Amino acid sequence: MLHDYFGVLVFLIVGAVVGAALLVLGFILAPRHADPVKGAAYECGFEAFEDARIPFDVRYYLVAILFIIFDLEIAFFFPWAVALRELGPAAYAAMAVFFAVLVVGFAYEWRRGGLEWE
Amino acid sequence: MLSRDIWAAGSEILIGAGSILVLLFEVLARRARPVWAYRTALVSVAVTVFLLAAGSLGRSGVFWHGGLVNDPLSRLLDIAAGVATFLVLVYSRPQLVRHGLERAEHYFLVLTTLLGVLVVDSGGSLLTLYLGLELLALSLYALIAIDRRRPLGAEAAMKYFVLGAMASALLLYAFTFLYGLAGSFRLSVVARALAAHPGSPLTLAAVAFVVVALAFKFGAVPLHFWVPDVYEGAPTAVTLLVGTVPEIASIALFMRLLGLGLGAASGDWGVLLMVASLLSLLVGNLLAVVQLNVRRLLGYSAVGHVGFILLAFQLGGRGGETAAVYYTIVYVFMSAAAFGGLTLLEARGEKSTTLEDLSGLARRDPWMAFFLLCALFSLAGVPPFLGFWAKLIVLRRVIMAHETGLAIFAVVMAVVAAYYYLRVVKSMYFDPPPAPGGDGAAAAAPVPVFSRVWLGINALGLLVLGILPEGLWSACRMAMSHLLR
Amino acid sequence: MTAAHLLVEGVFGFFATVLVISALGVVVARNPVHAALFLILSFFNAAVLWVLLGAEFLGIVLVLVYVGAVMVLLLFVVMMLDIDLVVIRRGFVRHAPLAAVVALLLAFEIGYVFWARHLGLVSLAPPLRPGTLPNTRALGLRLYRDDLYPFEIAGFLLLVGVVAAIVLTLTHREGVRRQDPSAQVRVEPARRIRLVDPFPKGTPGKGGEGG
Repeated sequence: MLHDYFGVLVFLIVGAVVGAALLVLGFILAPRHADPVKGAAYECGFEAFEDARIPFDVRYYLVAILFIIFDLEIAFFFPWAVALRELGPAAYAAMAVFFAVLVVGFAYEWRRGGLEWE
Repeated sequence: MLSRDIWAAGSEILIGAGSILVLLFEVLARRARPVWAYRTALVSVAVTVFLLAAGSLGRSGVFWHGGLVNDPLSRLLDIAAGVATFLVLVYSRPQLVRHGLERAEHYFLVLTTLLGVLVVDSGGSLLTLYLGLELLALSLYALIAIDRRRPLGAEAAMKYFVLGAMASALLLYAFTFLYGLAGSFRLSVVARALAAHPGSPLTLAAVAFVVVALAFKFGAVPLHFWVPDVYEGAPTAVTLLVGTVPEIASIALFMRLLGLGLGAASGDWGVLLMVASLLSLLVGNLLAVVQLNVRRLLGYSAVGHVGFILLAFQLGGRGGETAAVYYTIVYVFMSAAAFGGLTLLEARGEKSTTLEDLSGLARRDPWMAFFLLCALFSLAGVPPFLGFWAKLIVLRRVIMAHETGLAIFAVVMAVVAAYYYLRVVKSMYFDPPPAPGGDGAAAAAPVPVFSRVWLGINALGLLVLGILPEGLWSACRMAMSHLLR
Repeated sequence: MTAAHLLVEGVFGFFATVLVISALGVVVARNPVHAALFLILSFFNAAVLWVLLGAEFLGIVLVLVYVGAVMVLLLFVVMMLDIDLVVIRRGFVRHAPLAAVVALLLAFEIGYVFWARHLGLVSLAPPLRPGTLPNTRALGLRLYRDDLYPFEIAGFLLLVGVVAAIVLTLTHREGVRRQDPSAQVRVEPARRIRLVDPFPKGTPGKGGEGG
């Protein structure tokens, strides 16, 4: 099974090497004239006076949480799809019920306005 | 084959379908009214209880590859949980309406709580037990925080959630040990593997984690910290739910997991449970004495009652376990009556937070005061009431096991408990009502007769069943004599 | 064969080392955002380890769910909470003994399991042999043949998650204009423009009142 992943390994190595090489080359070759002003955060010309962390709308959480839930639902589909040929109608029906339950959840979310942005 | 399995999961399917229906109303109706969610929930619970009691659901046997076990115990606990949920729904609606909290989601979450309990009741594998427990817990977390105008509720939900997540993690950790030992999730296989490897260190680790997790779910000392906070912080209608229905799942979990799955290691968990039981009796009852807030008082007293339940359970063997199951069922209905009374008082527009709020209640509403009196007398264990028999049976089991010291300690703690329960009764009957000018009689609104009648049935049932205690007790013994796993 | 084995061992060692380092980074990093990024790195490494051990599906789910979704949520939390590190670290010395006790206990528990295993008291059931069946298919066969009942309960669990998230966080603010695509689509020109005569016949003098 691991043979199949050899390509992934090669890809990882090439990616790491190329990424590192570009950074290193930039570090070596580029002219550098360091100056504190150059490194300062640019905020419309005046000095940064605030932390980047500010209270977000709780709505972002809602989107993220709903994303997680439906992401998990997707995760259930993979083994089902792979094994469906051997499983027969019972597994198909079971997935239909599972999916229906979550579709109700999705419809509820839609109806409640969970997908709208104000 | 599959149709047989589906039929066996009838009660779960009915409640699940009911909860889906509640959401569908919400989605499809042009202007959904929560009362329809309430009616749907009520009907689906009532139909399930009726079919279970009539014996047409839940045929005995092992189904779904061991995931679902139907035996008389699961049926008894399912019926108890269903009736308790029915009462909770009936008591809570007037209060929810009055406080502007009535939403279809509330009823949906109550139904999924019940679904979780039903799944745990008949859980035959570690997997179903865990998932049922999570379904129950997740619904409760959301319900406790559902009133967003109430910071106390959010705080309570947060505490309950963080501790509950830890308990779940411990339980899962223990399950990995058990799976490693048995190579299967099925409780029967786990039990066999444990019997084949007595005294394995892995078993000891698994037992320790399971006991900690279950003690949390039940609210036993030293994992009781969430109980008073949740009882106080949650909306009253939710406190009513938290104090009743999940207890059934807790005892089911104890029976299935410790009694049937880890029965071979009863020596290991017996000691742990005995310590937890003694501490719960001591801490719960002593701290309840100093509470002025009625809900915190009932919260600590719940810890004390859990002490009694564990005292019976730690004896091991069917006798002690039967007493524990009996005590739990009795406690759930006493608790339902007590919190139901408080909830209906709030629905009338009265406050029911402190002892002073209740003073003089007998003059304002003699019936309500009498119903509360029945519940409190029963909780205290005053003789003709049902609670007395529960305590008596547990104590008899303890004495039969030659643990006289434990029995004496439990009696002393029961006397302490009687003191603080009777103090509430005294406040209702003999203290002058709070100074006029408060929102007492002026804001009082009539409570729907339906809810009052059910509270009456519940409260008087504690008295009648106390006078004729044979039926429930023999039902418990019957249920415990044909266990499957 | 041995060369391939060595390669696998080497790759495992490399990713395991990075995993340990990045996990340390999560705890040690002063900036919570850095800690979160370290966590992503450690998730990736753990995923690679799982793939190497034959648990492909778990590896993919780790990336899909944890890196893809959970970390997004975590970053929101980190960004939102405006964490003041000085305040967080204030109680460090005071609570260090307690933390040390908990850490020791945990270390003991983990060690205990290994020790128990080496005592030979545990008969571990043979796991699904890697290589005979692709991991995902084996999981599918198990989950959708034997464990249909727990699977459906999991569906309800997710549904409760959806409802709970919406009940607890969704608010509709008053006075916020929001887009209504359905109304936009349904609009007809005839209803949009209404021709008004500013000076109706009978009332000549009232035109300029508003000015």
